[in-house]
Amino acid sequence: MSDEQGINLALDPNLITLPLNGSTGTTTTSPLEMDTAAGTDTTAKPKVSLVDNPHEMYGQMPLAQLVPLILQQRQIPFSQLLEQNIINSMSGDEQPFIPEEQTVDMAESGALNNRRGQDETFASIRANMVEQTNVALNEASLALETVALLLSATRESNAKASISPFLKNTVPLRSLNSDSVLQQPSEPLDDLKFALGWKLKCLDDCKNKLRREVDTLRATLEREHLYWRKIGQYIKNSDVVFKMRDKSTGLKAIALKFGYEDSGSAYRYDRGIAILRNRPESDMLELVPVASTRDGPRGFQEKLLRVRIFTKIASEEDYIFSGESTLQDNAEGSVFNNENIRGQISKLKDIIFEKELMYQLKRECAPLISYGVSIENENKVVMELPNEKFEIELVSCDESSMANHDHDNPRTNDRRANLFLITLRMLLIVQFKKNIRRGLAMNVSSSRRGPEDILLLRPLLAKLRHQNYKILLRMIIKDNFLEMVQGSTVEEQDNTPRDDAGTNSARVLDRHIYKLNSEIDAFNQLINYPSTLFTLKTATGEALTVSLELPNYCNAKIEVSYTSFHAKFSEFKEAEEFLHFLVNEYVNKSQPPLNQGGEDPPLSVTSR
Amino acid sequence: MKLSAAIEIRTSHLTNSCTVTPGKLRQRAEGMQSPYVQERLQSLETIDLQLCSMLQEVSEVVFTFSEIKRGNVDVKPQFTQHVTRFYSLLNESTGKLRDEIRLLDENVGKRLLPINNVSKRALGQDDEKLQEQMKLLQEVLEGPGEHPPPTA
Repeated sequence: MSDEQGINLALDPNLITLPLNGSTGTTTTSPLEMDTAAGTDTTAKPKVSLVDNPHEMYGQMPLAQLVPLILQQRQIPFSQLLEQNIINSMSGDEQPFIPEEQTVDMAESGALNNRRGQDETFASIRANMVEQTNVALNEASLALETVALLLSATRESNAKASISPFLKNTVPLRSLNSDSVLQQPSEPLDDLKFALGWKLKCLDDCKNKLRREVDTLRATLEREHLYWRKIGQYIKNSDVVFKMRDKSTGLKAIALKFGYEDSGSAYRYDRGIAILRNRPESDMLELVPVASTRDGPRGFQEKLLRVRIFTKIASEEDYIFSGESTLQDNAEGSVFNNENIRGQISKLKDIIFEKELMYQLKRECAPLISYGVSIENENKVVMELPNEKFEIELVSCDESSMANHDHDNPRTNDRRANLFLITLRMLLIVQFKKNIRRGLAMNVSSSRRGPEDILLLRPLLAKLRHQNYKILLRMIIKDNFLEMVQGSTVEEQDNTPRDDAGTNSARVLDRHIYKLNSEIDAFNQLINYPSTLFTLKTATGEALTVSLELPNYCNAKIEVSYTSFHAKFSEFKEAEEFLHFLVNEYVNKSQPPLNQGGEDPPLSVTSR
Repeated sequence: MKLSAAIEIRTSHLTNSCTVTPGKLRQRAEGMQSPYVQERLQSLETIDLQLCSMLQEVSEVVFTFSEIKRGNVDVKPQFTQHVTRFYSLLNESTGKLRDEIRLLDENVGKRLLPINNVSKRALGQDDEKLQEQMKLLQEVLEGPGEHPPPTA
């Protein structure tokens, strides 16, 4: 029969409720029941589809429900339900619808023709029906297989429950929707052959890249080694170098500190830091000063101090240029273009030193305007004295060196100008030392001292003024004493205090402070107020002393003493008058004032 | 694949070492010019070069490897040789670098300042300047004395 040669798919036997070979009359009751139902209702239209048959439900009924139904219909217990019984009842009760099973029995009886025709119709309907049922079942089971196969990708255990053994054996699970594709291990040789070209190319590229890297690295290392070798060559142990980020290039670099900050400088506008950089194009080491914030884009200017002296022409109200300090030897031209790192360092040191000197000079000079010291501009301080004028100017190295070579013939005051400048520099160093001392002493005797007074120009100014005052005083003494008193002599003695009292007293225990004190004290001769003592002697040996002092480096203080007279003046005119009076009243009369008027109180005259 | 990974590791090793060395060199720079420091600089330079040639060996390794893959089996001993050289260089430079670090550690506090927490100060520049000016003063005073400072 056709259903025997169906699709080669093993159907789940559980799904099959109809006998595959119904003609043999299987024991199952459901087909019989269904057949009876179909027979009663569908005689008129045998082609009717099984789906539309309402009695199909009997066929789909599980046996457990169907059997009770039959039993109920027959009114018999289950034990009496026999196959033969059913067959008999079907042939007895419903003669016209006798199924095929009956035909075997009926053939012998040779029944009616009518019945035979009916049998044929029934058989054809039934065959048709069985065929369609099988097709439907096949389709349903196919659909189930598909679903099971699809499901196997995600829920393997569920799928295994419903999938047919045949499919399970022939088709790998999860394979339908390509969720997992089983990879067959391929032959390694085939694999290599397939990608060999790419791999070789890759290796070649790799090699080339590496070689290039080696080359660039070599070059970089070469330059780096050169850099280090140069640093090793030029940088001394005493130089302070540290790591710093080069702001212009953003690279790490080595910076060198050339400022005097750690050596006592109080100048904060330029820290004095330069970066040691390898100039990329020429592989030369160069020292680039880090522009301080104040200087801004103007950068670091090569400027040094220069002192010029102008002498007043007595007849005219004019000055002539009489002397100029020479710039320092190591400041010839611009050393920044060659690789003389030591030269560059010392030049940078010079420049920053001079810069600070100028800055401190300006600070010191601000209140000195009444003594002829004025700040002409940012880089120039002028000190005027009755007969000459000093200009201290911060000049650019290039300009000055050019101007310097124009007239090389020495002038009268060149030497003085040099000495003047050197003294200023030394005084600034003394200032540094004082700052260091203050920093060290801060722990010991905290803020006992106020801020250190800047003493740069004033000691020099005092010396010069003192010199002038001395000349004036000599004239006064000559006019009023030497020429008035017979046989008199005058002795002049420099009375400038040599040591700063108390700086190195026994209680200074710190040896560093002690050292600094002695170093500073070495300059006391220069720093302390200049003072001169004139001792006037008459022929009889009577002494009269006149002392000249400049207690604030500018104003003169004249003290005249004669036995018990002690008079102080700040005006020369008054001093002269007093001297005149003394000479006339006492010295020339050879009468010591004590003998005459012992009750006279000591004169103490101060003009202000 | 393994080879390129190995190359990657070595390259990074090399670059790392290279970035490390300048820092080390700098600390040497603080005690410049003594023969000891010059020696250290020289030695670090050698390490640098060794690391660089390591990279070159790697490139050779890759080259011979690709030759072998092309079917040129004769270069196999060269391949082995390059790999051996690479590892020996790595070994040597690592050892040297360790020695340098050890030397650095040993000398801190003796020849060198502690590296990070102490900054060297530019002391004594005042005295230097003073000496310089003294010398200058002496020169000026001993120089042609035909123009003594006029007293009036």
